[in-house]
Amino acid sequence: MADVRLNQIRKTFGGHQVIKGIDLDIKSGEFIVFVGPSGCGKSTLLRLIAGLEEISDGTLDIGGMRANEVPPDARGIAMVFQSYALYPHMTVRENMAFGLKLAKIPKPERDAKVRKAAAMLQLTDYLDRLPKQLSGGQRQRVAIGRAITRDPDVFLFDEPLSNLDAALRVATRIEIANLKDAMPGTTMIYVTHDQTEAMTLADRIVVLNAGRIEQVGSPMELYHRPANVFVAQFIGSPAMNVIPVESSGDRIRFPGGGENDLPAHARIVGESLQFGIRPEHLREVPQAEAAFSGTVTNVERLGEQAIVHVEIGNGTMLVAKIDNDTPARKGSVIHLAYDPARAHFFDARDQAICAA
Amino acid sequence: MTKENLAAGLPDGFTAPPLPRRIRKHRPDWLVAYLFLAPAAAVFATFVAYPMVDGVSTAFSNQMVGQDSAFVGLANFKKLFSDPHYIRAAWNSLVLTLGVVAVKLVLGLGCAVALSQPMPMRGLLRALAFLPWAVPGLIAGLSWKWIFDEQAGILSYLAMSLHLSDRPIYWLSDPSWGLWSIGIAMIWHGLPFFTMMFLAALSSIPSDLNEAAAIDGAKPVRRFFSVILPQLKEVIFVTVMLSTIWTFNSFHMVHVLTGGGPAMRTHILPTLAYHYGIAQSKLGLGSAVLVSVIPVFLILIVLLTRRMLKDEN
Repeated sequence: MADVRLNQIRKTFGGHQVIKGIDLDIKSGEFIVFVGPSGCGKSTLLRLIAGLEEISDGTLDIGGMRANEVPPDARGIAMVFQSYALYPHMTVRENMAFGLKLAKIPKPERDAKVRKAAAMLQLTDYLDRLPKQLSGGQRQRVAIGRAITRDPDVFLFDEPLSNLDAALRVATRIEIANLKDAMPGTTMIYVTHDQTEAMTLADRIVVLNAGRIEQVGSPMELYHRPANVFVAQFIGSPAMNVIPVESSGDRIRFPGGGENDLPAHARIVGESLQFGIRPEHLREVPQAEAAFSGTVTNVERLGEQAIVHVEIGNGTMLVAKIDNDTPARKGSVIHLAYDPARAHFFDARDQAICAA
Repeated sequence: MTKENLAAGLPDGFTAPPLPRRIRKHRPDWLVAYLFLAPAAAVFATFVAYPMVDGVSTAFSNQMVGQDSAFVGLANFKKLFSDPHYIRAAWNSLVLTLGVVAVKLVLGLGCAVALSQPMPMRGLLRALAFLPWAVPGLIAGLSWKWIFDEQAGILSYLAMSLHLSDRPIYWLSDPSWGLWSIGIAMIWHGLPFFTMMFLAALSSIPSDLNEAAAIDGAKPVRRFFSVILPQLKEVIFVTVMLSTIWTFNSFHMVHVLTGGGPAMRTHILPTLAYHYGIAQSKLGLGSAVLVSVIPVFLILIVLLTRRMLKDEN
């Protein structure tokens, strides 16, 4: 059991600051996911927590103790790498027992821990195999098993599913979710660029961009109340539509001529306004009820639903996720409406304008 | 519908046009393969196989330069095995090869590990470390001959300046120093190959393997021996095997530095073969010296080839 506290953490590589003052409290037993685009600093932040990179400035506390100068093996952590990082010349058993052997744990206890972890991950039949004799999914399970045997306070995952194919990714994701339930006292920090992994696994998500935190919150909080345009468009697939609108009094006018009521909280005088609506919150309606009308430029049929790309005027594009039964096809005209309660508004600095 | 058309899915009455003449006759694959192989095989037969067969047959003859020869069976070999110079040269070859390769292995690993660490001017240091490899063997030998020279050489000068010795040291003409001096020159010239091979292998080891071991609690020395070194096993084997063959055959360094002297004390087998075959014109005996080590080389080459082809198979 250990909480992790980051206080104004900064990391500089050769004069270039990649982590720009991160403050974050991770509670003991919490499953937290760092998510963000490539190069946002999420893996670097994880490596700083692991002790694989030196912290340039700020303090890191693990379990209430300053950990900046503590070597990786003494931080009470275990880490699962994207590339598995299994020792190629050691069997599965030896891989899983290596850390315990170094910690001078007696052999019977070592064996018991390895057997327990192997059973948890369905690896019992593979204990005497070399990593090269295993599939990608099995290798990743060994990497997780190696981390489990260390009995860590903090479990770190660095994009553990990125090297797996789509089907295996789903299966392993579920295994990690089960692992989280099986180890309720262990703090887990998970890095991914995949928002599905973030949404399905996290207690809280930390959205990072260019070395800074954009927002921290539960998956649903981030989905329903994004703090800014970046988070709004990063969480959710397809990304939220964000379009510039004109407002006058209690009305907003969309590109292409559609109009609607402007909620009271979004009536900002003298500032340009951005309107956001998620593709799944748009619905196809008769022309008379439409907020937007436009020409369909593409239809992606997913089976149950269809993703329709619509040009609503002045080159402004909208993406709608609607019922697959829609007659929309490339070149046809479509009319869309939205539920005002689902609409988001952002100011000129891309920050959300929230209802009080 | 004809049977052929039915099989080919062609309509009845359809007649396929005749194939162009050049692809009508299908050449078997093995013939094509041999045709491609023929030029290389011809070069190999002329410049490798023929001299080798000729050398082996000479070893069983009493061939002298410019004279007729006769088959003498194993006479040359019997003579060699009771020849103290041959036995000494074989011993020198063995000791020098084992010693030089062992030192190059340890130093090469050390240099590679050092040069793989982040440090200022690493590129320059790497270039300097590889420089001796670029110097031709003969030039390297001549340079070291000057370094070891008892009158003008820097080593003797340093030894006397630092009061380590009160008289010049006869690095090359003192029998107790001769092999050491040859060994030092060989190590200097051959070390970059080891460093280069190990450095390349080290840079191909993913860094997260090292990081995983660090998290597992392995300190740097333990990480090197338990995680890094096992990944270098293959390249160590191949490098040691190649270097063993090259060092054993390293004629030029001994020839230039001591010429096998003083009193035939620093000969290795290739220089002894030269001494008998060229200096004394006894081509049969000289060839026998070299043929006598073929079984040893065969074992090394078979081991090496099997290991190198392991992944391919």
